[in-house]
Amino acid sequence: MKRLESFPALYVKQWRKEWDQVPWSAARQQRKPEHGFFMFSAPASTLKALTGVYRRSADQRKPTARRNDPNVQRAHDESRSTKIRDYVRFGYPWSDLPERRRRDNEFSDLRKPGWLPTALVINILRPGDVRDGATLRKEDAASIGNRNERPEIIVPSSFSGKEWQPQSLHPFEVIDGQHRLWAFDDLDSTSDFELPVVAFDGLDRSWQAYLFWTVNITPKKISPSLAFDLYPLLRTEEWLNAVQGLAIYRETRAQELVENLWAVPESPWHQRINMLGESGLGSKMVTQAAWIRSLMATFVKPWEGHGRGKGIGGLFGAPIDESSFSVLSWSRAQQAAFLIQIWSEMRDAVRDSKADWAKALRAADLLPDPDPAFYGEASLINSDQGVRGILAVFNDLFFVTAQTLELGSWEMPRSEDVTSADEVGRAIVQLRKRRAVCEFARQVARGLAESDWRTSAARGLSEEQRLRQAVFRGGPGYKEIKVDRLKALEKHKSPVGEAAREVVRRFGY
Amino acid sequence: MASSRLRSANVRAGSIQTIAAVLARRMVDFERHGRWLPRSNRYRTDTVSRLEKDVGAAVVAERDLVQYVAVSVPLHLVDGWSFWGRALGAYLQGDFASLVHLAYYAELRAAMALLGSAGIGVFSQHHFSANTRQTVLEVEKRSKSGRGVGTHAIVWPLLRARARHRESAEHVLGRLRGGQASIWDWLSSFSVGNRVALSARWLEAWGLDLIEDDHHQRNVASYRPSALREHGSSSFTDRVEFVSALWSLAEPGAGRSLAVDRYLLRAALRQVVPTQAGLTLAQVIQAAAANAGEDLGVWLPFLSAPATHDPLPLRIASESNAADQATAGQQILARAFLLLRAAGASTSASLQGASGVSSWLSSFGIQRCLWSETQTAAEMVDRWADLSETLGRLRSLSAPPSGPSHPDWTVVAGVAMGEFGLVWSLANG
Repeated sequence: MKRLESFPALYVKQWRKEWDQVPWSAARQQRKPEHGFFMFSAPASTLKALTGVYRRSADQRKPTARRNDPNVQRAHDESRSTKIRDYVRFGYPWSDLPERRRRDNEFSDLRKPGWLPTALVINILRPGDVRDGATLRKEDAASIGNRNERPEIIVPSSFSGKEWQPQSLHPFEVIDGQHRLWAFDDLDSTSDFELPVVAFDGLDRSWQAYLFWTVNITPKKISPSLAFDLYPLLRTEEWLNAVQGLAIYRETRAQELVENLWAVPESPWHQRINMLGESGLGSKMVTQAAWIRSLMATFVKPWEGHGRGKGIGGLFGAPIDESSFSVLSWSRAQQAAFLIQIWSEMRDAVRDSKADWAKALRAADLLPDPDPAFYGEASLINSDQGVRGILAVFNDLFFVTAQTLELGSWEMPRSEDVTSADEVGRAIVQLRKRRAVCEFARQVARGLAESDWRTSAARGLSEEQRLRQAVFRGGPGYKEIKVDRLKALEKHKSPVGEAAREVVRRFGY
Repeated sequence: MASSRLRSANVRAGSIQTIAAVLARRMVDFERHGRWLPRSNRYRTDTVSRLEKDVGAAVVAERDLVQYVAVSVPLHLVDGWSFWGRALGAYLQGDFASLVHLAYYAELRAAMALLGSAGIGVFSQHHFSANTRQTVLEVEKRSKSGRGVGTHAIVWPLLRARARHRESAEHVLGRLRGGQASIWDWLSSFSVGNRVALSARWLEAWGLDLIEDDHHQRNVASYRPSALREHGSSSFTDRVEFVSALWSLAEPGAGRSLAVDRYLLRAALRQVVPTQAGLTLAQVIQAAAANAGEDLGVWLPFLSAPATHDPLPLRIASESNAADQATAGQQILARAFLLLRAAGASTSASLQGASGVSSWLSSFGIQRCLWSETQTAAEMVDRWADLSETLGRLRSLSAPPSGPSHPDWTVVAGVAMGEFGLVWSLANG
């Protein structure tokens, strides 16, 4: 007797004692299932024949009678299966490109493999099972055999290949993965491209619906921002530029970090950022938009300067070790904690400063609290240019010392609750235990606090001072303030001075 | 002009996708050769007269016309923002006649950009839509005389008709952002019908000055000596404040958003409440923030604020029949700004698949003296600091005790660079 085609399988035993308490009911189509399921792989073309999943068009092979098609109740989203088909052929992001860009040779290097590693989920019907008035006959039923002490899924005795049509019912019901099968409608049917399959044996219908729900609905689709946290290597994958993936990461991450700076009580900027650009808020605040632009130009930037190895990248957006392309795998909570810590050091350094500029700002303000030297109307620190300049200096100095300070060794368990201020609080506590990092931040802050942070409109400036400070106004002010502060720090005979000299050298200032 | 003159099906047939695809190809040509249209394009020069001739002979060069409509989308926007900026300068100088003219044309060009992105081209007496096959259809029924309705008369009915399409609404609301999510997505748990109605209502309100019957003000400004008309009591300080308020709404945020977007979001949510039986504003905001994936704690206080908290330009944009020129000037400037914002959103959507946008904007900025050397997108966005600085100087010069003062033209000219509005709408900072 000719041996029927079969697929070696694994049996995955899954059962718990508590499940014995579940109220099974054959009457409600919830009969007690087997204590596990099978896993196997089979060519997509064979699976299509055994499941009867075909696109429903008039020019098909002999159409399956509606009652023989167990999948008829599911709607086919053609665009989805087309997308999967293109992905299988060309990978991502090429499959997502508009047609015009695909024709353009410029993007041909974006083609990648289109792996489908996630398994279809099917149910193997048993002889006698009834679906929509039709009963599965024995010759149309698949069976589970045993070969060399391993289970195997055996095709029906009537099975004749890819063009096979059962007389009664298809033996496999697809619970999840129909669109993957539909995607193969237009692909080369001679291909032996296999798909992994999870197969339940004789699962009652209500459990199939339940399985569909738990597989598709309950898992939260992760946001791009979380994806970049869970897989930090993504931050440097340049192919993501083609689909604006990296820009989305940077924008989203910058916004999230600003929200943390505003929301977390330990932050010097707690409730001191103009989050929605409103006027008439009473005290001077830099807008959220300005903060986001500044973070995108500093900590979350990809690269600045003359390319890798010569310029400086964003601590949260570029590889800190050019040889291995390794990125700092800090989560958003860690990144927020770091920003809060450097600003705390900055605020404390200014508070402790006896420099003339700080004394002058305090003398000019009637209220000592909050510190006018840091938050006041005439303070450059609490301005668009000041925020940018300080972030730029801290980013660049930490970038060039990242390995010395072993920033990469600071790890924290990931949480999907990425909006939690508690998590940021915990990260701050942990960061403060890293003495070398905090001490370096402190030295940077103290060095920065020596510079004059008065705006050109501050009272009491001499004409020479006013002209000097005027250089930090407007768009040019962003770079001017950074260069000025780095050049001041260069003079320090300390690791900070050394780092500043390295940054100046890399940028050629 | 009655909307009944329109061929509704042909208006509907205008294809957003066709325009986006053709525009993407044209951007490639522009990047390589510095040309918006190929030399062979029949309508590159003498557009209206050639088209008139071709219509008469029934030999319209359809592909050429579609190309023209496509490239006119960003180029109408360029002109619209430029006119608006000069209108702002005129307002600041108290030149209300010029203001009305320029602001009206800013609105007209914004509307033509909006229509263009929906595949509709307006050409003096002949107006067409470009469909999915890149052929063109007339959007107006011919009168017995065979003459069509002119540009000024047809833009409003076309805008009104097209604004009621889901695609067009999504094209605009999908690019106005609150945080990381578009207004369209913020409102995604409310019906599509609500969102389309909202977008249509806005475009109709902002395009008020384009209604043919309402060209009275423009005509008065065109033909009557302005010194003989009632100027109103607006001081220079008042005008500076209004200009500052308007420009503040143009502060660039992430992803081509402008500050005005979040105020529009607020207005949208307020307008959705009456359509949701039993829901309070807070509940609507909560649902919307969940859709958008945005932090309710950040947004709730802002989104809950009443309309009286909106900046002055937004409060007066829907008003008309002002008693004096100064107030009328504010209203038309506000409407023009909002219509340009909507047009910027739809143009940005049309340019989504195109390359070379940043380099075009950079060289455009050099031509228009916004900057003197090539800029990256982030640098173009950073120019906000310069404008903010100029507005600060203007405010300090006009404020007591040193004011009211009328500073020299260099400061006034600085705030008339409406081109920044274009750049910030389209540059991906």
